[in-house]
Amino acid sequence: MSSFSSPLLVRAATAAAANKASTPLLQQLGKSLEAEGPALANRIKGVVVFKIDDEEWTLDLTEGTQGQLYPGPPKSGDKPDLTLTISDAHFAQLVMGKLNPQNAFLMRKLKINGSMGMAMKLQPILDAAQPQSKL
Amino acid sequence: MSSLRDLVAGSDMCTPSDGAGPSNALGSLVNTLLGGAGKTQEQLRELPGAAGPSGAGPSTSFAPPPSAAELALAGGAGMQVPGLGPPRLNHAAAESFMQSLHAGPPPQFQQLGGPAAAGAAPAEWDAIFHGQDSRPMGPTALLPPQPPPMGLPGAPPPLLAPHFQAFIRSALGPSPSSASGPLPPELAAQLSVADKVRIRDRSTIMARQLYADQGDQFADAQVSHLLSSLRIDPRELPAQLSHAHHADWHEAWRAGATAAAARPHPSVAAELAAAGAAAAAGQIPAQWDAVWEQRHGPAGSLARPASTGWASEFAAQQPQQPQPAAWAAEFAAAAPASAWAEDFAAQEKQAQATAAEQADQSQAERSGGDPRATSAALAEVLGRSDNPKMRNSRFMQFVSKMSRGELTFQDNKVVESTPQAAAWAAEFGGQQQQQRPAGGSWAAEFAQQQAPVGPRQQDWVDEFARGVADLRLDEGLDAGTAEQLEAAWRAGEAATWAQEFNQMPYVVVPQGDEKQYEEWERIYGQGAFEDSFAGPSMGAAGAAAAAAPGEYVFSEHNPFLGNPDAQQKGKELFRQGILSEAALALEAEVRAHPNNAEAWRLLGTVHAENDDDRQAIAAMMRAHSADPSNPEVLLALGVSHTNELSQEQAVSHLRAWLAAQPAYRQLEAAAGQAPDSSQRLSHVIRMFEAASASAPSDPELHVALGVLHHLGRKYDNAVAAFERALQLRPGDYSLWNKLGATLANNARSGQALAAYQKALDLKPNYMRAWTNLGISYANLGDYPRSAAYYVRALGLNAGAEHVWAYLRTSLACAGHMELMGAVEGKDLG
Repeated sequence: MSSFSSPLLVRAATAAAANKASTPLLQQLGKSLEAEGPALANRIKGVVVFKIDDEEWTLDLTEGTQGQLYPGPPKSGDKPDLTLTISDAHFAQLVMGKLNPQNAFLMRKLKINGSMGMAMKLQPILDAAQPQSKL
Repeated sequence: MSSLRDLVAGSDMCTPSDGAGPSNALGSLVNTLLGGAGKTQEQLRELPGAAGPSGAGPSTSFAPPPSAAELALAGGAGMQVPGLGPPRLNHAAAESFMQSLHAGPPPQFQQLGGPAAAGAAPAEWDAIFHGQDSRPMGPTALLPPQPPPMGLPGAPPPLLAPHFQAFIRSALGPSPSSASGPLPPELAAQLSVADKVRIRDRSTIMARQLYADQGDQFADAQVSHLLSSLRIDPRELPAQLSHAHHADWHEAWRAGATAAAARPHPSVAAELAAAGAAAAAGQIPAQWDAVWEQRHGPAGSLARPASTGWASEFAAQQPQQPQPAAWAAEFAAAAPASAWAEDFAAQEKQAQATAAEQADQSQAERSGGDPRATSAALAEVLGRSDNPKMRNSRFMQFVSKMSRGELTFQDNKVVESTPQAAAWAAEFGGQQQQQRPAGGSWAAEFAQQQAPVGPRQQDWVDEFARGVADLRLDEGLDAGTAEQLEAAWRAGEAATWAQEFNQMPYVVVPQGDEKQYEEWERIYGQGAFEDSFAGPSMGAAGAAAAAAPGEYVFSEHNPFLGNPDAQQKGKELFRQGILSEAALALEAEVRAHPNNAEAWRLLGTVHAENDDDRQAIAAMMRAHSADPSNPEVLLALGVSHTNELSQEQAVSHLRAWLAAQPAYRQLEAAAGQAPDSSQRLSHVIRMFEAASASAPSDPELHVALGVLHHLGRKYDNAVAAFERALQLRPGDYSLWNKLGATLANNARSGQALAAYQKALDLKPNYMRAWTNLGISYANLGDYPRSAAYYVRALGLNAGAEHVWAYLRTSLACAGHMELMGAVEGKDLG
């Protein structure tokens, strides 16, 4: 029923997202932007795009902003400063600390395009994506 | 050929000790990879030699050393960082990786190359190398001599090198030249048996390669020449030395030799070289810089262009690549999961396609309105998604179908028949509710009743029985939860209804059918799509998450509706720890009496303990609006907002809490407002500290203070505050959980475990604590255990979407990709 496709397409996309190990981590990252966004933005000062298993997420940490995380390519249409391509499981390992970014890169589990300097500051972003224990 | 010698044995221009120099890029590369200059040559010899015994493709002999080296590097890199960066080379890992590399049949490489190419290869090396020679000598070797990977003794005595050089040099000339004299005995004695065997083997192999056109015997003669010069008596050496390298290089050789996968990847070689260059710097930033530079063009430094040059030249020359290795390994790893996923998806799609069909049919039959169309579309979407949750949904479809089956055939029994059974079972005891037999009996009953129905339904029934049997039902999952799930899925699975109405002879309109549609429309129409983060699932939890934030979402099917004792029942259930049922009871109460602050508060508490902060906040807000000064409500709101990282709201609620306490009201009023919003938190903290100074034995105060500190990430202070509160109130399980969570968020997950355990001792069904335990184990790196704890938590509250997601994460880290699809309804054992 194609007539229902438009709102439901988004839903299908999110349904696919439910499948992934990386979803809760990205959610946590999004949430943590409320608290840590400005600090992160002042460190990173750029736009990072995560390509996780065909899903693209943009983490907009331009300097001076609150920081945003949303699916899809950068809204401003500019080229992102850093693009990371990684599989879902490896992203989970990266965030959870099982894999560190350098190793991931050398093992070609993580592909980096763009600013290497920014890529080296990846760790705080990954830390922010870790699940948080609840009071 | 001198280029090869130089390549392998180290240019004479450089210090002979490590046999590597800036111009000997390949040698140094291999040095680093394999460790030790002398060994390098042997190992290199071994590479083509791996081909040797099976009849040598001489053409590829020279190519393979570098490619094999590269392969090994890539292979090593595929598993771990090889000796380039941090000097750790997990050779076992590299080995196994190499094993996995091996794809094609062994003899494959034999067909490659022919004698004609033998002449060409050396020329290539000459070209590469002479181009290299003109480059300036860098100040340092490209790659520092690395400790040999497998714990071999340090680089062999330099004096061996000339012998090897001579050995190879003899290959270049038409006639064998004599070595520079036999090796002094003392040095020869230093060669261990293993070394000797290696030397022998590898030189044999190398010789065969080098002298391929001159025949094996000639090669053997050369080898014996070498050995004698080294005072190695071949007769006294073991025939075979088990050497980890063998397999590796063998495989690497084969993989590299397969020109089939001819994908030029200059970047690979370049990267490797660059990485090698970076290893000289010995620091990760430099390493990354090198790679960066590699990508963006070589910098002006001396060492790098050298490596870049030969690497790119080499890469240009060498089509065969280790690239297949890396992706092959990854693919192999991914294959099981993807294979499963495909199968599952195929099955699901097939089933759902039929479901969708039927939904369409029924839609045509019943002129519904938009809800029906939406339901059909929903079924379509469900069918399209690979979501393993689909299985759960189908599982739950069966539950709902089954219950409706009961409904159908026992006409007079109201819809509540099943949930009443559930409630009855729940009342019967909190532990060990034998859900499995119950579910099984339901399924059996249904199967009997549904005998006349078509085979497809039968399949579903069977599947349901299987599904229920699979569901781990121990002390965690009680009938109430199953019922709630059922209700939840009913809320989302209108497609099921469509099918049923189509198939069932008795068209019984379940109670609340219309209501369900309304609710559902509300939920799905309500901007659920905007929030891509919220509840991608299709269940009640999804519905809950899909609702506008801050708005409470009721479970659809509520057996307690209309029950005047709902609140009391809810309290009892809560005490017993059956949270989901308690939630339902309380919901019934608040639906009947929307201003019942107490009920809302309890409801909020239930959700908080079920680790559902959104619902908790929604409920608490209602409680708050009903009773603005209830301190417990305010405290709970502060806690939940803290969990949701909404700092401002948490602070304002906690501040209000303080104001609501008569003892501190004045203090709060006196403190006034913070100078600006960023200071609000610290301002309020100061306020609280002043209060606690005045009343040190008020545990709640300490709790609130702890929460505030946690918000401000002053975890030490928070821990101190919670500990003070615990001294005053040691039996408060939620306090132990708070302490644990604070410790965990402060990276003290080990200590957190103890605190959580205490909480669970006090309240075994404390789902939040189970979840937090899972998180802590994941932080500690114990992913399988973490996953197990998540499963326990899910047993208590299967509607917790984020816990399912955490489970997936832990499974991904544990490497149990095959369990991903089975995440629903199965335990890990």
